[in-house]
Amino acid sequence: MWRRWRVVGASVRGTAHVQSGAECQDASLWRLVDSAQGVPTLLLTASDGAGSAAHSAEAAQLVCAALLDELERLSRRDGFDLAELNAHTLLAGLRAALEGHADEHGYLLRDLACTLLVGVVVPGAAWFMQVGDGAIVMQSGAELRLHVWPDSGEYANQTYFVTDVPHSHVHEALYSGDWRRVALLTDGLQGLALSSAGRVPHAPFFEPVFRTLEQAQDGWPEYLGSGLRQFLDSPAVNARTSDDKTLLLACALDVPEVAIDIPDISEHLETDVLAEAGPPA
Amino acid sequence: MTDPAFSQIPFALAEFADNPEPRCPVLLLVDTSGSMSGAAIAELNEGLQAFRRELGADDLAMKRCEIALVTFGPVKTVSEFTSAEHFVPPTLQAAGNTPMGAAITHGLGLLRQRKELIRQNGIGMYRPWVFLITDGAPTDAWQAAAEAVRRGEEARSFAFFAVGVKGADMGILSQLSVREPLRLDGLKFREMFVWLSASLRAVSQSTPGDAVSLASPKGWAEL
Repeated sequence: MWRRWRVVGASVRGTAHVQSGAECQDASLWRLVDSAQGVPTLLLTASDGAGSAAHSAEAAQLVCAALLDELERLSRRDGFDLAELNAHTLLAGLRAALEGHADEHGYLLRDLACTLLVGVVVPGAAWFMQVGDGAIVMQSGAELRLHVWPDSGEYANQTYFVTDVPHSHVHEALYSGDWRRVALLTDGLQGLALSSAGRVPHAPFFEPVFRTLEQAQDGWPEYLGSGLRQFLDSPAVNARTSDDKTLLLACALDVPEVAIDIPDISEHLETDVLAEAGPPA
Repeated sequence: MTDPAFSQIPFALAEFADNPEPRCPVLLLVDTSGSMSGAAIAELNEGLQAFRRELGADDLAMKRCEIALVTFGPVKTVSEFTSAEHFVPPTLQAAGNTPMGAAITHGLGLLRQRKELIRQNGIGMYRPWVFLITDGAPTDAWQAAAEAVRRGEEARSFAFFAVGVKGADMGILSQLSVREPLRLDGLKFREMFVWLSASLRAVSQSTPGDAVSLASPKGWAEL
């Protein structure tokens, strides 16, 4: 058996932003790379630009792209191990990139405030980090787990941003286990996908969504992507949230190796060679 | 296309969590001392009715705002924290002196309990608002109350607003409130409560990172 991933993601503008003419301030990206040891490594990231920050949509895009490049670079190094990943080092790099971008365009750093969700998943383990609200959900067998409850500060309209997050609000953890389903979502979907009573993922939200992805036919990536966008912009979703919303879904598919029937010819070779190189008659 | 998956949007089978709305506690501290009798108390009562009507025009604000009403002269909890949907504006009567310090202390105690209850239930919350309305000067010791307001503002436990009606001791109000107190223009209680309702609607629908810009109070305050 060999493993591959099926991933679909979409960021859709919230109805409040449609009304005000504001752009979508969410972004998400993913990439599948082979590590130096040939381990398939799934990289996932999503970011939600702050509503009050003038250029946060750019920031969310920039942060996602810069992070994937850095994670790809790290994971291709010889002997790479998930335990080497360090959220504070990654954040320092991101902040430098944001400062560079701010200087270049004459912005203030706080114009680039955005949250961050990151996942690096390999067979047998996963590493996640989070700054601010939104959520990362993982599943192994029947265990549906939340990385951390959305970190939104004391009040409902507050959160933390990569531009000035205190150390104690950077949440990273390494999880061993065969995480075959992973989802990243921004705060626009929190009220639908998480249950505040037990502070857990709302299983009836995730189960059908992951199942749809797993059972989709191959060769329909556009169909899946437009389906997800349609879902995120459906009246049912919009009745419950007016904010931008991002959902990035990944599921592992184990595919039987195609058995190529190669006849064992070594015996023949040996015989032939021996015959050719045999003692002179 | 016969594939049943094409008959509906993929992913639409997701069922949504049914979470309680985040709450925005609003504490009204209202002076009903003897000096408020006559036109002032009548306008104030009409203002409270307008407040309820304005909030009622907004579904989300109705679900999210929770109103408590404490009057002083003497200190009395007229209405415990209750969702705006269930808040019934009372008809207040004016009588007695102005125990403003005790009213603030009592009200902040109610607010503390309410916040605790909201947190214990895992419900989200917006920063509470405390709105003090008076036409006089405290007839009791108010320094401890001023200290509690200062500490609460510093810890971002609530936002405290003071409104002085004609005759109010604006000097003491500015020592009670970290924010500059506002002087009510005449008896424009109605305009003031409409503004309060609009501000609460903006705040109670803000999302993380939003800068909530409140409208200027110039329609009801002397600026």
